[in-house]
Amino acid sequence: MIIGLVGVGVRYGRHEVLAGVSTTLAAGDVVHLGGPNGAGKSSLLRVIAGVQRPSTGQVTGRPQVVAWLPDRFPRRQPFTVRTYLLAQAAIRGLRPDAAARTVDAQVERFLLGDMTATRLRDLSKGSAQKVGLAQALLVPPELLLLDEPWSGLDATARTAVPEVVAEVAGRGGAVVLTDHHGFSGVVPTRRWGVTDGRLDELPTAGRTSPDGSGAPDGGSVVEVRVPDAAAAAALAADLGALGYDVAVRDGSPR
Amino acid sequence: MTADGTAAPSASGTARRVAAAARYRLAATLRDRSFVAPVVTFALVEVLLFGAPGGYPADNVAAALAVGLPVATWAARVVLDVEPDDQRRLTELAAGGRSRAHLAALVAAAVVCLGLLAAGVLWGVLRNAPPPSPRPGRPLPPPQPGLPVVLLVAVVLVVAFGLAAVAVAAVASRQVAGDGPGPVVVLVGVPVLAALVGQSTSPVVSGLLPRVLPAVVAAQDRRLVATAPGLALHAAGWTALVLAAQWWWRRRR
Repeated sequence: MIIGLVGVGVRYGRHEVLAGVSTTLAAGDVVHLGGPNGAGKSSLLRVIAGVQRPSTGQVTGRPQVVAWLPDRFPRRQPFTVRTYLLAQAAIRGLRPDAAARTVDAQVERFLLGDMTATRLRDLSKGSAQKVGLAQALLVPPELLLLDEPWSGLDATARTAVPEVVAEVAGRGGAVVLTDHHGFSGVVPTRRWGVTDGRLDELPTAGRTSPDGSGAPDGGSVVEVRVPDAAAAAALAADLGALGYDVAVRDGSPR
Repeated sequence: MTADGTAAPSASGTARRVAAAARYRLAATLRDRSFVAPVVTFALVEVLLFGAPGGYPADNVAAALAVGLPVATWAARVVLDVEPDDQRRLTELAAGGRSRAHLAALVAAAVVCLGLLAAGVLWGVLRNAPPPSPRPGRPLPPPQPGLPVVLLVAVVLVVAFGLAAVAVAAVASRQVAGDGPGPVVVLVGVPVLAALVGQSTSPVVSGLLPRVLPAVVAAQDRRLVATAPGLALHAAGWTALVLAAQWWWRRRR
């Protein structure tokens, strides 16, 4: 178990957002957290991350390296992209040379090369989101919490998110993400729904059937080949927004 | 290095991470416009106080502390709350815990407070005028302590009152005290206000204050050196009490 929640509740004044939330996250879990606006999804992510104390209940076994992307990356800061990332890497405990290499790798990954000298407050929403993703990955996280990670991202950058999720889960970590735009290529292993302050474990449409045949629970599978990763991400986003479960994989010959 | 280009965290972490978080906060403060106001205010007050040479060194130390404490508290509050809320949370995660982030914030605030107070006190000491000649028929003024003694006392008092300023700012800040002012803010704010507007006659309230005005009175009576250890001890105890109270309040919420 990576982390456990026991009877967690969140209350703002007299307004109870979450109540009696109990669940666990295991290695390799990729959880899609859904629910209407204001249901408490972001609060739950903050509680799991450890940046917000629950009003009731407790969280056990939080791993050492936790990364969190808020739904809106805080842009109003007096730093350039590179200065900010280097400072965050230093706070993560990286020495200057390792910090520089790590920052360079993340800058390249999220196509931030032209913006390293740009001030954070001058970034667009999508570019700021990329910086947020980059800071979350300066040290490989054991638990990654993404609040609307695709918000504002361009088609090319969207493809990086499923890769990041797969990396963290593949290393034995866990990922929880919210997304109002469809899964955009991420195949969750679990689904949580937050309604009326309750957290429910929902069936996962893409899960293999109990008879072991490997076919998804119900429905049919359509495979579509597209020319490149950007087109795949865009199509996945569109299909996800229509409510379909979408998985993106490398189409090179095996 | 790991396979994906990220570097694994090094082992000897805590002190370096706290130092890095404190540096980050100081850098953010120096680049933030909200820091200009307390610094300019401090400079103006210092110019008004010590623009012309005058006074004994011990007097000037006490005066610099008296006017410097509220401005230093203001500056410390700016340092503590310089980050947007979500960035504060991100820094807590990066530092590996809320306690480390808080410690880094307090260290950064202390650096600023001590720097401001030390600058003010030093200016006051260096701008002092030679003692006036005794007038015929008037009693001789009590002997003044030497400059090294005054400087030593000034260092002790700057540290004590600088930390007290950090404690007051911490109680009032979102970073340390949480998302909204609590009763601790009120409990501390009232006596601080009383300290700013004048000496309280209530021994209870007086006991809750860093004794800035008693320091001024002691300086005027030529007793600052003798009373400095007690004043510093009181300020240190008061600081510990306030920080413990805010810690308790935060844990309770």
